[in-house]
Amino acid sequence: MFYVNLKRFSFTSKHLLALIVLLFLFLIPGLIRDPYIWGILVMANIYAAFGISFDLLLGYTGLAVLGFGLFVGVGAYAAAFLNLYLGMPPWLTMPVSGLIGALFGLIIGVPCLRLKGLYLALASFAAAAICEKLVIVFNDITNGREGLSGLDPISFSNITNYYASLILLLVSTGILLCIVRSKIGLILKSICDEEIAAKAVGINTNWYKLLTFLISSFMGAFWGSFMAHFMMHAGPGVFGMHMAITIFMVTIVGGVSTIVGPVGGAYLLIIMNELLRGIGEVRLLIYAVITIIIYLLLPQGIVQPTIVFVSTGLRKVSNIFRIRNRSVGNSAIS
Amino acid sequence: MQFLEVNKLCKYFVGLRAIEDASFRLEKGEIVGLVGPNGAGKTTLFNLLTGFLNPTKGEIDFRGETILGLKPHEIVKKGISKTFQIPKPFHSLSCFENIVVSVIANLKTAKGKGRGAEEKARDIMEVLGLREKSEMLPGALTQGDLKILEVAKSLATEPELLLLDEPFAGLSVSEIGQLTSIIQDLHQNGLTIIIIEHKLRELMKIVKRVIVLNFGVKIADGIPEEITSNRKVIEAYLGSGGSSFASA
Repeated sequence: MFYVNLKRFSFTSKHLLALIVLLFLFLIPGLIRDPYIWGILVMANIYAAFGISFDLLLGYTGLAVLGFGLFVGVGAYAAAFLNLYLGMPPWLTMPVSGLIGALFGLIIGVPCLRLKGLYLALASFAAAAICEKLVIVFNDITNGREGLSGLDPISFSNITNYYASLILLLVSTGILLCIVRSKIGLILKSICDEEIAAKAVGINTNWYKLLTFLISSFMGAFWGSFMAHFMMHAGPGVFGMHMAITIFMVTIVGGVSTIVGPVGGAYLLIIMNELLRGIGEVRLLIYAVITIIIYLLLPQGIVQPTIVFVSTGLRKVSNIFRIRNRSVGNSAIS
Repeated sequence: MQFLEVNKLCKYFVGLRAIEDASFRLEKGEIVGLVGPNGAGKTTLFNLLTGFLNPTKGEIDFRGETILGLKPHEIVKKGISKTFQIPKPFHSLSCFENIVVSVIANLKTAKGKGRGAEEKARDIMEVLGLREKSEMLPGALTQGDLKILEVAKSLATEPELLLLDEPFAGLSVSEIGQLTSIIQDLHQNGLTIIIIEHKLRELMKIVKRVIVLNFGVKIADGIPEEITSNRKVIEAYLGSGGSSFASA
């Protein structure tokens, strides 16, 4: 765990791999000079953030909040109201939207604490569906099914949007990794494993579940707000089934209980979706088949096995260099 | 001030009397067996004492304070901890982390301050003989080690009253011996313990007093020698013809 590893930290092949991936992500705009691609990568970063926030709930507390789109939608509409009606700039609407999302998380979280599994999934999804209907009903202020358009963008330049989303994603991932690798993370895992046993050793399970709800809903709403500013639009679709399923798939494909997994899942699924766009509606079928194959072959997600595979390769390569250097050194001595 | 006082405790489930007017007192440092046939209400009584169930009627006072209405985690912080009949380890955490998390959960209380959680967890593992298994996942442990891990998790909460629910169930003779010596050591160090157990021969070697429940009613309370010859107890275990069988 984090509190142990800090004392025994040593640079491993996994850290080298992380550095290479980071370097690659920062150099992408220089390698691919296409603003359209940069826009797709921004969406990948946004869905990655949704995925890691959802993973905190699903993977670390066992809360299957299928209606996670609720928090995304609250964030998107909060940003739209704050920006369009109150004139707040995006850098301010995002944290404020996050706080409003956390308030919704509290409102939804308290009654949902008694629910588990499918019941929680359905209750949270019902809450998202109610919000979707409310947005359509109050069309005087929400513009109904059309949604609210004309939000200030974070930047008109997609390259700036890309770097903003990437840096914020790194910060979000870092914060969540710190949480799950801290003592709180250990407690969350124990609740996820055996809630009754966690209570029996003195853990206030409801408080920790609520804390997770608050963090996750804040992040979901913050990034929902980012998405609304990026797209310059907030529509009722963000509350819907499509958003919920996409976030769920990003997390499962990437790997539950990993935090970094959904980042890989988002990049794979969002990019795959774009690559298949050229072949029309058949792409949905191919998209679904590829996803099912991933579920069947790598139930733990794609990211962890990839990390193990690549970092093992890097270690072998470094060992070969080490042996060569040693033999060169030995021959020089002799 | 009584250490533990249970007064006219009742628990009814829909159409079922689980505990009826159970009353008993416990002195600090006692080691007591709680026995009775299946369905007698023993585990229900443990669940009432630890806040997992709320009683229908009655009083439970621990060190002079009522613990009625407290949640399980609050009762743990008061100093009562229980183990489960079927071990419930945190299966994705190592043995060491299983104990660390139990220590961490109680760090905010005054009794938990001052020493590192890891150091405390290591001490407990050392004392209970789990040091070699510290990095192992619970899934790789034997049934005996799982039972010891259950005790270790409970000890990590620094209890004053330890409730052990069938600690010997499913264990081999040697594992029972190992766990028996652990329980005796804990008792000698001043811990108050109540043990639910069906293996009466092993239980009677450890405890100084036995409480017997049958259909939720306390039918006997005394030293092991009295209990083993008590007609009501024999009938509860062997049926109405039991006393003649036992006397023969």
